[in-house]
Amino acid sequence: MFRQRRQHALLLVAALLLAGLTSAGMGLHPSSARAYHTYEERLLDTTAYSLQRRRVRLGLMNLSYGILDQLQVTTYTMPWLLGMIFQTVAPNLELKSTFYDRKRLALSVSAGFLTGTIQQTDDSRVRYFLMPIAFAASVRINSDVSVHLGTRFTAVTGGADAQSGGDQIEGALVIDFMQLYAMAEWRLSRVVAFTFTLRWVPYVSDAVVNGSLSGTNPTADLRLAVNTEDLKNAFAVVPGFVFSWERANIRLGVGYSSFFVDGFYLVLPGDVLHNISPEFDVFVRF
Amino acid sequence: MKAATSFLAVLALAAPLSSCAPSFDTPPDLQPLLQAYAQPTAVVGEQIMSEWADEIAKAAEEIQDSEIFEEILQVIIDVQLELDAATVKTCSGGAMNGSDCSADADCPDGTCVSTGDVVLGEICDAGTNKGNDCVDDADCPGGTCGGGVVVPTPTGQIQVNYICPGWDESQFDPGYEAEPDPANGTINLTMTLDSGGIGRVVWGTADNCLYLVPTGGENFQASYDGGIALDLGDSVSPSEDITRLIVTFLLEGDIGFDGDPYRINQSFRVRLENTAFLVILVDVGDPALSKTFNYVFAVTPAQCVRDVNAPPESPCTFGCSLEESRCFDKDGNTLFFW
Repeated sequence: MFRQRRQHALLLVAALLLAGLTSAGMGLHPSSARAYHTYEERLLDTTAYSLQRRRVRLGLMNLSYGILDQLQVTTYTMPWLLGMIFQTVAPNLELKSTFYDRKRLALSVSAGFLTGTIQQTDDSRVRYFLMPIAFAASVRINSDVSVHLGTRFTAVTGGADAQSGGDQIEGALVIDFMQLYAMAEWRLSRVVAFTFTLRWVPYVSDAVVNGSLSGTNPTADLRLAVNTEDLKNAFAVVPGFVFSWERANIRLGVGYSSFFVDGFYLVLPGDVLHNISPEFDVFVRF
Repeated sequence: MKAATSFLAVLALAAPLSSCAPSFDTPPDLQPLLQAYAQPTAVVGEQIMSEWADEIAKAAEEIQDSEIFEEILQVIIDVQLELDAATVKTCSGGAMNGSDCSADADCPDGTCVSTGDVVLGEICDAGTNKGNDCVDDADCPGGTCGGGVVVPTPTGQIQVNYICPGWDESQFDPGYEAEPDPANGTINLTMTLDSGGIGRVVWGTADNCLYLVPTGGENFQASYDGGIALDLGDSVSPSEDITRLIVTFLLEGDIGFDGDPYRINQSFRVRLENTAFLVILVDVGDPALSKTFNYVFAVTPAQCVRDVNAPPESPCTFGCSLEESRCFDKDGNTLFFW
C-alpha cells in the first residue's frame, strides 16, 4: 500500500514538474506575438463558450462549426478514426448552446450522442449508445483569469448481439454517471494560457445488464446489476497549457489519477494508465 | 431569440435521456409473517378451536388438494435449472483444475463447482448447431460453445413468465408436445438474484392459471387466480434442491378445484418432498398478525398446535385432531373438546 502511494505521489510530482517546465519554456516566447487569446477567442473545451457563427475549428480531437453565435455543433474525431480501424465507425454529434453571455458570465448547455459497435467474433458484437448532457458556467474574473465550472451527465446503453439467425438480442447494458469539473484559466501571455482542471465523478449507477435465459416456458428475463465501485469518486487533476497562435492551437497537459476520455465521455480508472491522465489536442480556428 | 432557439435545439437532443435510469422492484416484506411463525402469540383453547377448526380444515383441504404450491414451486425449480445451466463452472482439483466444466465427469479427480458468474447468450461458433444457443461444447457438434456476456457474481432480478398447462388431459401422454397456450392463464413471478443465487423472497401473480392435479388415477381440474408471495428460508444456490426446503407461502386469491371455488387469504408452509407436511398460520387477532398460532399437519402426532406456550425447539404445544374435534397431551389424554 505504501509503495503504491509513493508511486502515485511521484507520478503527481512528475506531472507537475513537466507542466512547470513547459510553462517556463513558453515564458521565453515573445509576448508580442499576434493576438490569439483574446476577448472573443475563448477556450471551448471545459468552458461555457462556443464558436461564433460561421467559425470553424478543425482539430485532432474534434471538429466544430458555429451554426449561430450561440450554437455550435461538434463531432469528435477519435470515435470515427478508431471506428474505422476496428471496421465500424462511431457516429457522434454534440450541440452546445451558450444561451447566456453577458458581462463576466457565460452559461451553456450541451447534449449529444455517440453510437457504435465492436465486433467480438463473426457471430457476436457489442453495441453502445451514449447520450451526454452538460451544463457549464464561465466567469471572467479579469482579462487574464477565468474560472469554468460544469457538470456532465452521461447515460450509456449497450447490448451484445449474438446473431442466431441474425437478430437475437442476448444482453443489454445500462449505466449512468455524472461528472463535475472545474477549470481555472490564467492567460500568461497572448499566446500562452495555463489551465488547471479538476474532474470528479460523484455518481455512477450500477451497471445493469439485461438478458434472458434460454428456456421457452417458463421464460426468464434477467436484469442484473454489476458493481461499478471502481468508477465511483474517480477524479483527475490536470495542469496544462493552451498555446494559441494566429490559427494554430495546441492544448496539452499531464495530470494525475483517472483518464477522462475525450470524445467517448468515459472514464478509465487510474490503474489502467498508471494514474497518468493526459490531455492533448491540436487545432486550427478560422 | 437566437439564444432561446439554440437552447431548445440542445434540449430536444437531450430529451431521450429521461428514460435511462435503471431500477429494481422491491420485494414484499415477509418478515412480520415469518416472525408470526417463529413466535406465535395466541393461547389456544377450546374457544379458539371451536371458532377456527372448520376454517383450518377447509384451508388445509383446498391447499393440499389443489397443489397450487407445487405448481408455483415447479416454475421456480425450472428457472433454477436454467440459471444453473447459465452459471460458469470450473473444475476444482484434479488434472483439469481451473478448466471450464459442466459436470463432475469433466473433472477427473476433481469436482465441478460453480464460480457464481453467469454467462448469457453463448452460441455455437461452427458445426451443425452454428448460431444456436448452447451451454457447453457438447451442444455444438463440430464447433465450440462461446461468446456471450459474462456477468460476475450478479445481483439483480429475474422476471418469470409461465404459461400454465391447462386442462387438456393429453398433456400426460408420452411424447406430448404442444405450444403453450396463453388462454390457459399465466404465472408471473419476480425473483431476486443475490451473488448468483436465488433470493429468498419470490413474488408475483397468477392470472387464472389452469392446471390438472392427478390424484388416485384421476385428473382434477384446478385453477388459481391471485397474488403470490413466498419465502424460501434463505438464498438458494443454482444447484440447491428446493424440494427439501420448507417454503412459506402467502396467497391471496381464488383457488378452484374440481369445480368448487375457494377464496384464500392465507399463509402456510410446505415442503415439496413431503406434500403431507403443512403448517397453517392461523391469525385470530385484529389487527392482522397481532395474535397467531400454527396448526401443523403431518408431524408426530399427526396434527398439532404450536401456540405461545410451545416449549423452545418444540414443533408443538399439544396434539389435536380436527376429525375428533379434540386436542390432547403427549400421552394422548384429552385436554379439551370443541
